[in-house]
Amino acid sequence: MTIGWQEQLRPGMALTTIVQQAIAALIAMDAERLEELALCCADLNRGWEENGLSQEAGVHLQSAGSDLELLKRILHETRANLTVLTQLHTIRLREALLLGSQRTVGCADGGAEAFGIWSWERTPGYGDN
Amino acid sequence: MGTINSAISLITGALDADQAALDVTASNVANASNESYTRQVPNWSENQPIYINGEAIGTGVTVTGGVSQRDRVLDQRLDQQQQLSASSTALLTALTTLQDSFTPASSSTATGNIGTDISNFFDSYTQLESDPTSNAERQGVLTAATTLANDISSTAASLNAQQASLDQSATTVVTQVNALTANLAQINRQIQSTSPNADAGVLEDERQSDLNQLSQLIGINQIATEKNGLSVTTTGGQLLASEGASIPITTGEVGGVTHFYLGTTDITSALASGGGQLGGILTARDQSIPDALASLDQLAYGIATNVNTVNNAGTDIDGDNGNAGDIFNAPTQVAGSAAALTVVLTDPNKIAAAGLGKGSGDNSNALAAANLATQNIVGGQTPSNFYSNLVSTLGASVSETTTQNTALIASVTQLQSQVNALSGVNLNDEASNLEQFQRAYQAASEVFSILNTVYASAINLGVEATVS
Repeated sequence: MTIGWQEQLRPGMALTTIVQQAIAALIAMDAERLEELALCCADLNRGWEENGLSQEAGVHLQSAGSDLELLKRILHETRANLTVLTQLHTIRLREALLLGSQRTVGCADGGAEAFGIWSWERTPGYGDN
Repeated sequence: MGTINSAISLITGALDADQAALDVTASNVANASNESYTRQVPNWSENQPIYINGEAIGTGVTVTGGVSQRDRVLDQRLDQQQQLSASSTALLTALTTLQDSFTPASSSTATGNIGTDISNFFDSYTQLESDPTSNAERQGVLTAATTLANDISSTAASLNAQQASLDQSATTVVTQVNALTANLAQINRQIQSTSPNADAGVLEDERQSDLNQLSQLIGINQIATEKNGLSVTTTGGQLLASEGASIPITTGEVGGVTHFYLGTTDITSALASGGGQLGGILTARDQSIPDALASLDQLAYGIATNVNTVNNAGTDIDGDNGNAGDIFNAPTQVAGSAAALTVVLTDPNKIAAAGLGKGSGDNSNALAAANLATQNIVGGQTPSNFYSNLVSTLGASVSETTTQNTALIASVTQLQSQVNALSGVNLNDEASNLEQFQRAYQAASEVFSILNTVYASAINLGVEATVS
């Protein structure tokens, strides 16, 4: 995958720009942009592995240090947020499953039949006639 | 054609909305006896109108699904992050002001820069050393001493003023906290009497709004209680509002600053570490400023006592041996030395440039004074190094707090967008949203991982790295 601006970055490697764009994309949770940036970084890294890290790139890396630290912190916060959201989703899934099983119970004892719904999903059970 | 499609869409939407509302209502009835089930209420929202021939036509309503009490999980996470964010913002503001006291805008010139003052002061002794009887050089020492003393004392005064200002801000914040907890208690009473077993609707929103505001001001914990009630404590566990009653935070002065109490318990330290705007303000007032002030006191004390000792160990131009007098006012203790620092010597002839018992042409005592610049007389460091470290430590604190603050604001932004994105969506949409979030996190991790690895390689090239 070739990205236009990626080529432009290669010689001078404005690493601060990459990190800053990654930070902005992470805050906005722009997965597509971040995946693009990850590809770009992987490509740059291949270049460094093949040709060695130039002094110029080292200097650029140094100037990107504080932004890299910021990215690390935001990643840390993002992981915590993701954990909360995953737990929240798990709670809702469990809730939905519980609700599904109780709907059957509710229909069986007639609790919700007054609303005239769910009859299509009603399954025969003990006591069904 | 467009009109027909719009109409069909409108009707279909209304049908879907009805069905969803029935689902929510019916599920509540079916689970009325199930205590573990979380109540849900249909959340109706008006659709954006469609414009046909310039006329806005309503597109009905969409039910956006059940608003679950479980959303409190997300609300609480958001509140917690806002508490931390507000705290770091307040701390950062204070630290930036504090830093400005040490590195004034005029730092490009000698004026107001204590670091330059220190160098100039000891350099003036070097000048005197080359011409120990020169009145001009003697006057130069007094002028440099006065500049140094004035800048140190005015910086200390600036720090004290900032501390007093933060003290006032803290009191103002606590007044707002008390008003909010009183209102929360009132809303709790209303909710418990009108909706003990149902969603309280607008009142619930009002309570959440108060909690959000409170989270900006102070670190809190929320505890759900019976009959839809809510207790709020500080993060230290002290009760602020319990169901229908609130406990106001009271104030009292201790050591020149305001302390805060719940009942008879002093909760000032707990509030400082608890988060919210108040946490940041109190951290700056009780830690950052006193630390900076203590360092400045140490610097003033070290310079004044050592320079005075040297001046009283030589001979002045009038022939006084060992009792030429103090150049700076003699501090009796370290605390308060910076604010009180002044030059008490007015007669330049009283500067003891000559060694004890030696003639006025001797410069050995001026040399001894000049050498203080390279001796570890302040906290085991030279005066210049001590001051440099003070400023760089402060700079590092500002930098660290800035990074932390930016990360927390980013986290709050993410959460707020998630609160909006997840509001009333179905489980499939929620899963899709979560997957998008997960992908973003993984890709960002990859970016970080690659660059961090290369960063480590940069160390091998001799480029200093700060990220571990």
